[in-house]
Amino acid sequence: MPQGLAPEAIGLAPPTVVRGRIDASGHAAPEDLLLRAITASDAEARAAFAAWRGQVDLDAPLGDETMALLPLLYASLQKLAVEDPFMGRLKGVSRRIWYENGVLLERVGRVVAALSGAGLKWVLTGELPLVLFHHQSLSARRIGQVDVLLRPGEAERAATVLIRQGMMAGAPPRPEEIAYNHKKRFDAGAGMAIALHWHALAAAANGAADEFFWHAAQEGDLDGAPIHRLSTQAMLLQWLLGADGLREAMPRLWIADALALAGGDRQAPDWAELADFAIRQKLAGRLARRLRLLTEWGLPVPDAIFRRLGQARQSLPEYVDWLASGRRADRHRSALLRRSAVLADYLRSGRRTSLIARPADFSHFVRHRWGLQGRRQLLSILLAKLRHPARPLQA
Amino acid sequence: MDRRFWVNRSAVVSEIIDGEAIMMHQETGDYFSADGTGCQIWQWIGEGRSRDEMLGHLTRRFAREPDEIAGALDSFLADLVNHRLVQELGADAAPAPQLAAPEAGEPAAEYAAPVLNVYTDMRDLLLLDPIHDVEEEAGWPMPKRAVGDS
Repeated sequence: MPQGLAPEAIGLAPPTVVRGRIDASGHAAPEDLLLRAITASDAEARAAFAAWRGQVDLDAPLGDETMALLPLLYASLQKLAVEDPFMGRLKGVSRRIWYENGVLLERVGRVVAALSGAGLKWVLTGELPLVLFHHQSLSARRIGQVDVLLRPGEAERAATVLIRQGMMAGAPPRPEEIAYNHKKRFDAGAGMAIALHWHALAAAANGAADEFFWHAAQEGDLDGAPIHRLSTQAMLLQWLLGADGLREAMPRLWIADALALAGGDRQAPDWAELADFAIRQKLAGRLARRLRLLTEWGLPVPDAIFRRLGQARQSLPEYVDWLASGRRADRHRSALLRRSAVLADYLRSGRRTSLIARPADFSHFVRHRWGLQGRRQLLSILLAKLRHPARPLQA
Repeated sequence: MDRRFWVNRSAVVSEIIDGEAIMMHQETGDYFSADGTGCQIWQWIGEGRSRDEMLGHLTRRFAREPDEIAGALDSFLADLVNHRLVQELGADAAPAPQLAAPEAGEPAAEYAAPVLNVYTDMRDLLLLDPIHDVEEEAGWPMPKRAVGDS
């Protein structure tokens, strides 16, 4: 086990070339230029947009992440009073997102009313409060799914209430799912999904971590009805240490969201509080890596925070996380290593079992976290990987 | 007696984006928009301004016959009521709030009667690709006109 996290892993290395910055030859990846046009200010944003326009073929399909970023691009260009023939279609994208979010909002009102009517405690997290309370415009970003945080003991009843009232399809989470997983996603029809969470973070599915987020709940307003949602600080923490699906599928949208949250409330985040939480939950290395990425996009994180995270006591979960995040030349081997982060998540979870029972318990955990049909599927995946290392890990 | 209106907030969501008011009636799913003078009127309704107050501001701003402006204003208000975006307050409603005069804003553009654009067939409009299937200048929800269409 290394004595400490490698400097580059905890952000003390000198800054790398800022992605999205246009070099002397005028080149940068189109997606990074798009994100730069959204996140930078004035001259740099204008230059990035002009470079992006020059590279992108608007007659060709634009890709899911690019489409997801376009409303934020429109908002940025509007503030800069940019005039461009593309602005008409960009405004249209924003109108369309606004409409779809408006339809979703009406349904969310009924969902939270049903949960409250059943006497359940809930907090809205994820994209909905991000759009409502940080962007403060339904046109800024599509709300992909509705995330609701519940107490573990109430998740099954919440799902039952919503399923019985026809608001979503599927079966309530079974006790085993609640024991080993952290959320369950349901199809709510008409393109809407509802995710019921009984732990705030997949990587720290334990009571102490959850209590931090419950204490951070605030009152809000949804079309005149009172709602509960996380504070900006708690949402930022959840984005930095969670949001894994979004971060893998649309990393630039994740960056834009994190920057919006970090700039929310018009005051700097309480970095010390974020660092302390990460250290207590053995997620210091992960937080440092993600903050490091965001500094490349202009987020001013104090060096003292990186030093504090770097001085965190080394632990097995931190070491496994470090291994899982490391870069390897062989991408297939790295896929297996990336998946090993599930061991770190297991170690951070609240599950207390004997050393003898732990392997079996861990196999249940992996099976549920990877969405496998059963534990035998896990064995066959690993055997296939050992026989054919070059084949991508399928899970 | 002066007439006042209020937005049907229990069923209507709206926003103003770059000088255009967009609205949706959540019960019907119908989508509406109004720009220029229409957007301004929508904003004034949200501020609690009365019909006479709005008419006064419009006639001072635009060099048009007051009857012409009044007719267009009343027609627009009737559209908003008919589509259940707003309701007219009764005679026993609470007194109007004391509001400051609206800001002068930019120099008066040429007058155009307020128009409420109504979109009820949202299913087809939602199938449009908002980059490739729409008019370039107008954007969604205006579908691209086929070559040869007038």
